[in-house]
Formats: sequence, C-alpha cells, structure tokens
Amino acid sequence: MALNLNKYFEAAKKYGLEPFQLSYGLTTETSVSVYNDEIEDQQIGSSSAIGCKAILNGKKGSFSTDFIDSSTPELVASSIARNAKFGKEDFVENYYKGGNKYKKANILSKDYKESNLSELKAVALEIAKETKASDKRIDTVEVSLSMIESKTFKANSYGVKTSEKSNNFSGYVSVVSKSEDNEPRSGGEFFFSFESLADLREKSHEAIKSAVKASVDFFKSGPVPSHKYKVVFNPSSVSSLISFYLSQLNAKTVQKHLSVFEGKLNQLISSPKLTVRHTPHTAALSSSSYDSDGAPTQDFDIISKGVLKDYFYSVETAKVDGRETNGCSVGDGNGAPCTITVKPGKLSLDQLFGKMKDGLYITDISGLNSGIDSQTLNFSLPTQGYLIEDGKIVKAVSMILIAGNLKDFFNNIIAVGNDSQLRGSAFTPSLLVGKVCVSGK
Amino acid sequence: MKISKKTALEVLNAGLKTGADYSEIYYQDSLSHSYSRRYHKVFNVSDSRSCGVGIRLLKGTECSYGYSSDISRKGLLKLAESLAVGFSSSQKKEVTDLKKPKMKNLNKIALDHNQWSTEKKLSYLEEGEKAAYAYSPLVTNVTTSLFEEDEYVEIFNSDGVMASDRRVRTRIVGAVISSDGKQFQQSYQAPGFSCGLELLERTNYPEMMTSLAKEAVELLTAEDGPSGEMPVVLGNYFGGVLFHEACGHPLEGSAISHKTSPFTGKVGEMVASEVVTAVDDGTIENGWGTENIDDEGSLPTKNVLIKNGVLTNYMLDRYTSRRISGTDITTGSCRREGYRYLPTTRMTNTYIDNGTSTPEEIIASVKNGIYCKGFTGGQVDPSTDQFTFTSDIAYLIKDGKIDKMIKPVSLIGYGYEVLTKITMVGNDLSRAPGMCGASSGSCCVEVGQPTLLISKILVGGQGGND
Repeated sequence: MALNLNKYFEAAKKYGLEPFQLSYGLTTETSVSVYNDEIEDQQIGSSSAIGCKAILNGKKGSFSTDFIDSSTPELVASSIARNAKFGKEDFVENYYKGGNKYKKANILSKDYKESNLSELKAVALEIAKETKASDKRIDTVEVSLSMIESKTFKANSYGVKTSEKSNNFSGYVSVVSKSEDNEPRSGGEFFFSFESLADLREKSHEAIKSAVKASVDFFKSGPVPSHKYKVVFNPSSVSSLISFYLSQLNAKTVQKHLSVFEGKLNQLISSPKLTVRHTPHTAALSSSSYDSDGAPTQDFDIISKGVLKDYFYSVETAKVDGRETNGCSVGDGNGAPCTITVKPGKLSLDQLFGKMKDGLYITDISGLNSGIDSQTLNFSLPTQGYLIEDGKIVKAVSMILIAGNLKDFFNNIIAVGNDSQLRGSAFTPSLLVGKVCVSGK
Repeated sequence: MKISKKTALEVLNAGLKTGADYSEIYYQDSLSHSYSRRYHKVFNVSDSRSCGVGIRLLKGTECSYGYSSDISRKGLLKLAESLAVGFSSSQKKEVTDLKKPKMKNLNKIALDHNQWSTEKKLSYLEEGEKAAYAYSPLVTNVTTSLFEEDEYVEIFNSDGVMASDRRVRTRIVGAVISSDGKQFQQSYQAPGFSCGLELLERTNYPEMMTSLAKEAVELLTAEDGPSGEMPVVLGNYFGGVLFHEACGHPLEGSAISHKTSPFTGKVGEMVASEVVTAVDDGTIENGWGTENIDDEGSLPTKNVLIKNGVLTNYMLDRYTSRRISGTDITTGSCRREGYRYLPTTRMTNTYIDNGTSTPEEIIASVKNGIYCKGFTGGQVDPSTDQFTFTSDIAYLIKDGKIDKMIKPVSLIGYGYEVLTKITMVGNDLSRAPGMCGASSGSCCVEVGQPTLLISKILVGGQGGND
C-alpha cells in the first residue's frame, strides 16, 4: 500500500506529538535455493515497515509496525502517545534539523539489470553444477541466490526528508566434501553484485573456488599445541574482529563511562600500523547516505596510525559533547559505523608469511555470537587455518581456539597486508599479529 | 478466524491449480511490548506489531514460498496464483473442507499482560535495578527489561486443517556491568516462559539481580582460564546449550534430509554413552519453546531422540520427511520466526534427561578441570558437527572441589564425540529459555540438562599452558 505521509503527520499533530519522525522501508525479494542438482525452494516476498518516534510533553515515545493500512496512522500516533507517558525524561532531543548535504552511497548501479525467477533458477543450477564438477570429493552442494530491491525514506517535522534506493543480487555457495575415509569438511562463500545476474555469475567462479578450498584443504587437519603464536589473520577474520573492537567507540557508551576508550581521543589506542576510516558511500551492502536520525553519513578518520580520531556520534550524543553529529546514529542515540576501510599496507600475503616466519595463518573464525564480549572485548573463539613454518604453508590446522582481549590484539599488530577485500561491512587487508594465545593439543 | 474458511479454501485451491500436492496458509499477528530501565532511569517503553501471511506450496520436494503484509482476499489470491506459476502441470488435488484439529491448551495464562499497569511493571524493574546497584560500588551499570509478546497465528492446509493458536510469552532480563577502573566485566540472565505476568510474581527479581551483581564483581578478579583438553563439569539449566548445539541441530530433519549430518542413517545405533537420554518435548506446559500447534498444522510431540545412548528418532517436518522417507510423517517440529520465513524443522524444548549422580559426586570425581555454571550461547556446523559454546561463569576444579573463578572461556568439540565422553549425568535437571537462530529465523527454544561430566573437551582460556 502506498504510504500517505501527510496522514501520519496529521495524526501526530492531533496527539500533540512534536517533533515527529517517520522511517519507512519497502523490500521486495526473490530467491531460489538449490540442493545438488535440484531446485529445492523458490521464494517471493514483499514487505514494508514503518518506525516512528516523537516527543510528547517532554517525554519520548516510539512505535513500529509492518502492517500498513488506512488505520495505521492513528495506531502509530496513539501508541506513541501512550508509551510517551512513561518514556525517557531529561533526555537530549535527537532530531536532525537539516543543513548538511547528502552524498549518494554507491549502492544503486546505473548498470543495474533486472532478472526474473526463471533466470535466477537457471543460474543457481549452473553454479551448483560448476561447483560439483570442480572437485570429485564434493559430496553435497547448496546454492542460494537472491535479488533484493529496497526503498527507504525518512521524514521529520523539522522538514528533513531523505530517501534511498538499492538493488542487489547476492549468492551463497556451500559444499560438504568427504575424504576417502568419509571425513566430512564444509566450506562456504558469500558473493554479491549491484549490477546484474550476469555479473553475479561472474563473481561466483571465485566464490566456488574459495568454498571448495575451505572444505577440501582441511581433511585430516587437527590442532597444534597450545602456545602463544604469531598469527596472520585473513581479511574475513580481521573484519569479524574489528567490528567488535570499534563497537566500543559508540559515543553514547563513552558518555555513560562504559567504554574502554573513554578519554582516549587523540591518544594512541592501537598499533601505529592501524588506520581505519569511515567510508559509508563505498559500494558495500552496509553503505548508506543517511543514518537513523536522517543525518547525512560522512567520511572521516576513526583511527589514524593508531591514534583515536573520533567516536561514532548521533544527533543526541553530539549535543551532549557540544559538536555536530558525524552521521553514525543507529537509533536510541547510539552510534556505529556503516562501512569502514582499514588502510592496506605494502606486504603481500607471502611477504607477511615471510616476515612471520613461523606461526599460523587463520582463515576462518566462528562462534562470534557467543565467544566475544563487546563490552569487555575479551574473546575465546574457534578458528581454523594453516601452520606456517619458515614462511611457507605446511599443513591445515583445525579444532583450535584463540583467546585474548581485542585491545591487546590490535596493539600487537606487526604488519599490514596489501590484499584488501570487502568482507561484511569492512574493506580489510590481512594482519600479522603477535602473541596470540592458541588452545589446541 | 481472521481469514475466513471460504477465503482459505479459495486460496489453498488457487495454490493447487498447477500441480502442487500441498498448499498452506500461515497468518501471523504479533504484538510485542518492551519496557527497560538503564542508566538509573526508564530507558524505553515501546510497542511493535508484525502482521502478515506466508503461503507455501509443495510438489514433491520442490517448494514455492511467498509472503506479504497484504492480507486481503485479493492479496492472498494474487500471492497464491503467483506462487503456483512455479509449477506447470494440471491440478491433482482439491480441498473441499477445513476442520479444526483437537488441540490441548499447553500454555495456560494465569495473569494476562494487561493485568499490571505500566507503572507497576516499571516499578518491578526498578526494584531489581536497586538491588544490583546496592550490592557493590563496583557495579557501574544495570539494565533491567521486560519483554511481552502476544502472538496470534492461523494455519490452514490442504490436508483440511484449520487451526489457530495464541502464543503468549513473557521474559525478564537482567544485565549487570562492573568495573574496577581498569576493566569491565558483565553478567546476564533472562528467564522466560510461554506464560503471562505470573513469571514476574514467581521470580524473586531483586535476588536474581543481586546474584548477577555478585558474579559481575567476582569476574573483576577472576583469573585467565586454562587452555587445552581437560575434564569439564557442565552445570544444569543453560548447560543444555551443549546438547542443543552439538546434537540437537544435527538431528533436525534439515541436516538429516541433506545427508550432511553425522547422525544420518544411524537410528538404532549407539551414538552416545549409555548414561545419555535426550528428548525434544514440544508438550511441556508453559515451556518457552511450547506451541499448541506447529507452523504447518501438526500437533507437538514428546520426541525421545536418544534413549540410553541409542539414537531413536530425528526431528521432522513435512518437507524434510518427504526428503528422507517420501512420507508426510512429522514430529510437530515445523517452526518459523514469522510470516517472512520459510518454515523448517526446529527444536522446541530439548534436554538431556536426569541421571542418577548428585552434582556433588560429579564435582568430587574431577581432580583437575573446570566447572561451567553460566553460558552465553553457542554455534554448530551441522555438516561436520563441530560445535562451540561459551561459558561466562566458570570455575577451576582442584582435587574434587570448586576453586577460583575464571574469565569466560569457549569450548569446542565434535558432537558425535562429546556424546560418548559424557561419563556422569546428575539428577538435577533444569531447563532454560533461549533464542535459536537458523534458516527459518529466530525461534524461542528451551535447552536443559542436569549437571554432567565430559571426560575430555578442548577449552580455550586466555591463560595458555606455557
């Protein structure tokens, strides 16, 4: 159903909600899943959702719903008014009043070409076939492909109105391989395109190779002795860890005295080899031109040569610190980055191995949902990778855990690779890190 | 019923027009309320509503699924017709009538969410908050929250089922952060049941929050945990996350039907030590994972998965049963987070059953090892059965006695191996609520077990062993 914006603002006015902000999102999705050589499921879906917040008599209220019809404006306004009776008091108003320019995020390609379900099914089957044929040890293949189109907009009673559109194709290929003695090993790889199904297909070739390698390389692998090792972490592992590390730079956490980085602005917090920049307009699924307050997202240095340059601000926390927001609001006054870029170094992966000489190369980290604490930054995580001796890969290693604290981890960077890749919401290179506690045999 | 019988019949038959042999409508209308206090004041009072429909068609083992928030007759017919385009043969089945199945109300509600005012709920949370702060000046932040969900679902399918279920859930959360100026530590607990506000009445919330504050403060002086393989005693309650991750997921029909689980084809075989009996029981009254009917219209069951070490059954839904045996036999295990998700086999309330040892006997049997009392969650790769889970409250065991507290540690292993290394099972079974994420979204599940001993498992502490 088309959204009549005026109805929402009229209902808000009727209940005395001022200021009032509405966020709207519409997503349509088409996807297919293949198991070995057969289509297992095909899905189509469309859903919209709105989230609104307002202030009534100096107190905050909010409401969200994905059911939108002619009764929704009244439901939203009355629910906010009811909740605001008990809402947060003595808060800092967090509505963006406009003024700064929006820069388009690179998430809608001019070369975007639509596809239909039949084409998606055909390509998914092709990818599954290519995967299966790539190695005779592959036992099962699963491929899922999606086309997603999303439209979002945000408007508030200060006259701010901004919108964004994104189209993308994404895929995931996973395999289970079996050795001669029936030992199973799994591997998987995600890939995406802002352009077309053909472009996604092109990118699938590399994804297939990675998924298969992550599986077949680990037959007969096992743990190494428990010890402190030098370790090279691949871009995917670095991306996983740095997102938790940076979560402590939420300005709200800092202002509430709950951050390990409180009072550390312009001080050295990590190895000088680490430089991280907020790059919210680069071509990544996490990128966006505006934040949850409706403020424009911005490029800025987060950490420069180990020195902390800025926290992640919302309108609310910026007011507390007497400055302007840097467009990192993720709701409730909290701040977090969209897309980040870790500055690459000059060493190739082989040169990193050479510099390390003896140690481990970690290619996969799991258990992130429970094994890492974003408050304390302590971690204890299962990993797998390779043993490196004299700068060369010797054998695959699995069933090991790494443990430590992320503050120490990013302080112990010895070298930065030149092999940047987009992994999740981060462009990151490999990192060589010292003194990593490994539990194994 | 929100969707009339007449409309449901029209939509189900529209889905069957091109040769599908099964069609299903799932309607969901869920209202959630959350209340929380943080930073010494009310942090949030908010509501959200999720409402929409999912339609699923099956033709053998090919599935066509669609969802929409348009629940009008026209919208439902349009969705069913667009899904039917995915198949291309003549109609083989027609639904002529729909009947309500005999269902037992397993989740009786003693105190509806509207029986307490918002002021009373916030005051309840404040009492818990005060208790935590009062424990020690080292307590730097306390979060107290109450979550209420009142979900209504309707399920219609081409087997003639027309069912509805009201799913009321209540959960209270406590989180305490401590600091000594050099580091932060935190502790967390969140009891919940498929019930109303009676949960709040029977929980001594200030006592629970004081206990969390004590743990958070103790963690400030906890030592780094050990590294390497050692005996581990897992406490009851959320210790059940071990079985959930290590064996529960690989016993779900989705993994079995893809033949990627190490337990595929092993029914009747010894897969665990004989002290292990494990159950997925969707019929536990007011269980966090209990629903009166599953999301494809089958009744929940008490499903014994492992009996005295022997694998006795899998968890199945209609689709995975078709893949495994070509039948539509299910164990009432078809679940989904909501209408946007294609449903599949999921656990309900899964636990290892009581054994005969006392917890004290189990601790006393360990010379050097660790005792894991609190847990944050875990993860498994069902195809290799490599699992991990993390204990956030753990202690060293020395000479059969609980010793110093250690910092959080993760443990890893292979499920099929660890099942054979469970050498003692206690008599103090207790179950805990959790949220389980998988392909059909985030579902409420209970995990559980008595205190038990694993003779050897890899522990990843920061202390190292050199």
